[in-house]
Amino acid sequence: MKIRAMMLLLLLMLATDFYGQSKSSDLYSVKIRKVKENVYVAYRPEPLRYFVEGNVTIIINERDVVVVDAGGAPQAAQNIIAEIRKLTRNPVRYVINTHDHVDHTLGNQEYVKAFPGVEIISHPQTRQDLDSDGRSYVANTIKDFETRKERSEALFKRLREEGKPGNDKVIAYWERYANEDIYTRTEEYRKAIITLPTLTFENKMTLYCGSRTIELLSLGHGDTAGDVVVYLPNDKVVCTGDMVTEPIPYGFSVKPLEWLVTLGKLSELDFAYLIPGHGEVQQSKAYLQKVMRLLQTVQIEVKVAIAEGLDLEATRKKVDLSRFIVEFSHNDPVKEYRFRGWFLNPNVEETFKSLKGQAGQQ
Amino acid sequence: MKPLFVEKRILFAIIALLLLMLNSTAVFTQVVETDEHILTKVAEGIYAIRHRRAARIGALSGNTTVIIGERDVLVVDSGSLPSVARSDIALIKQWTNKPVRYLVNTHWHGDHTWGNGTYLDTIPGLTIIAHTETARLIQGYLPNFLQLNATGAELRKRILETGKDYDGTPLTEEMRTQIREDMPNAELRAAEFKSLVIQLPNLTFDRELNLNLGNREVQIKHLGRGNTSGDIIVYLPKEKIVVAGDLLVYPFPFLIGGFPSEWSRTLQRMSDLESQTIVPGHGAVLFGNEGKNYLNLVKDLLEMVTAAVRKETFKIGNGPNHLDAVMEAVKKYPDVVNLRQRFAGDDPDRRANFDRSLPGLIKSAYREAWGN
Repeated sequence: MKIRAMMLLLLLMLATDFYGQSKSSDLYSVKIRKVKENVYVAYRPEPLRYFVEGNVTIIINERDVVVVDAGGAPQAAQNIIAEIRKLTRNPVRYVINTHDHVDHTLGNQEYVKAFPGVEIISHPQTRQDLDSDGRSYVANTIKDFETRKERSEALFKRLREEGKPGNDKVIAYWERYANEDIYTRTEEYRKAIITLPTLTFENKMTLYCGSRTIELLSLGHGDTAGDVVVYLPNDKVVCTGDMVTEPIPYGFSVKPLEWLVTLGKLSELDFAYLIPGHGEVQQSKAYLQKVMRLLQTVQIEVKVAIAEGLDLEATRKKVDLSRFIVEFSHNDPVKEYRFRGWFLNPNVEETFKSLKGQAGQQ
Repeated sequence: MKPLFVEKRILFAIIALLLLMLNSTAVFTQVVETDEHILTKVAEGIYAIRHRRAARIGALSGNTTVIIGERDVLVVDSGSLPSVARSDIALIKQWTNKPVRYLVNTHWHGDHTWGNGTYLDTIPGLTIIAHTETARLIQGYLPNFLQLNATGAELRKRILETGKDYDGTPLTEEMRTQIREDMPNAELRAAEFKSLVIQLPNLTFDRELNLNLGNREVQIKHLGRGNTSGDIIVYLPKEKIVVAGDLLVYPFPFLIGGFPSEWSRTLQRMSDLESQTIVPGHGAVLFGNEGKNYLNLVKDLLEMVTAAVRKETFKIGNGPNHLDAVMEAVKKYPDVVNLRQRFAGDDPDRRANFDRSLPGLIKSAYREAWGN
């Protein structure tokens, strides 16, 4: 009896790894959705699950495959490559990095392994940023793992004390990361090898793949300085990278005024499907226009606040986006939490800095 | 003291000799001439091929440049005929077993792009890079242009039989002889055109493209229009080499068509790049100051003639029908006469060449002046 119990315990211990979590995490599992004939998107079923994963667009041509963005971990890329192999025997010839953030680029190495000779294409700025910021981000994330307990405890304490209705859901959302997903993620980051783009271009590039034309466009600074949009003129599909994300726009762009201009150029393209950097495929320009209205409102409100002589803190309090908060978060406390943290706070600050800087020049 | 003084002089002499050797490009380049081509080793792993046989049979071909990296090979321009491309591919195999991964078309003209099909047949996964305009313009060769050339020999036979030219004018004895003498070459060309397949670029860009062949960075740039709307150059920043395409043709530029008013600005941008060697679209490789001086000479030609044309057009013509008058006036400009001297010196053949080519430039500049 004792021996059996001990063996059971041993089995249990072996089934979980040293860090105390299950090996079979579904953090990087993907779902595939067909957008149109030979155009698919590989996505994470819960787009807000932390740490986020970028959408991957798979374009199957007569003789080869073009992939937009590479996933945020070796495992993610492996899963997506497995899905590609279910769809076609054609090799991946080009991987396009829409921008440098690691949730879109950390999978590059897997494509090089699986498809020798694959060309990884990006804007030169993206290559530079991945080489510098990308590397330090991965290193810092691995380092932060060591202080995870203190930091998550401090966060939960803050959320509890804030006592906002719905914070219990936010805490549960964070607990999932703190207790499970952070382990999977950190292990992947330890394995990851930053692989830089092999071919960079400025302004515009076109790939002619069989009967399909694929345009790579630098429309301007959106989320980052190296933003590239992938446009399929015949299929009327556009992959936007993180200049458009759903359900929550990312507001970290350090050039928020340019971002709106770039979105304007994006909206002039003739497309029927918009594949955002994260979130659901959009079948009209409605969501894009919603994001543009949001940015515009922030700019107007911040301009007024600056004209009234308010500082950043006062501006934050004054800017009224209650209508948009409801529009984007639909009363979901986690969505609202992320809307405030990932869009509202950073975008108001960056807009304030940009407009103040402009005013200073006048 | 005295022995040291003597030693010093010998030392200086040796140093001077070494410096002379270092400056002499002959030490580091090899030029090999065969019936087929003239090969110039521009630098380690970088070769320029000038196609002689193609010119001899009446299918003048642009230069081909081969750039070998530690991993891959990049080829600039594919020649005017399948046989030119085949010969170049065979050469590359002698130099390296690394794969030709990229073929770059500097512009759309057939003497630089008609070998594309042969390259693609031999290397199915080849990436053919060009400016977006070039891809568009190559399509102008489809579908009938090559057919015309393929039947060229038969057409010429018929001309000889009927005694009348394409437009019905009777043949002169001189023309008759010319056609008869060219007939074997015409048949050779026709045979090649029968098998020639036009292949378009499959990766185009409009401003700049950077890639690496394995410890060999390559920058492909559109510096502006000049000879065509899609002119691009290939630039090696470390080796300081510019592969110019027909933006720069040596010893005299091709002056039919193009955008003369923009061309000199494009050449200025080319000149701004740090370079020690220029491979022109046709003609010998230019090293050091030779390249810089020739570039400036062509730039001056373009600038001065377009300026003269603009002035004269403003003076003479209020409509598009004053080309002849403008041409006569421009030919007399001191700048232009001086350019003739700079290009051709006292060589009668070169002077004749200058005189033959100048009208083409004046025509294009005149067309531009009228916004045509």
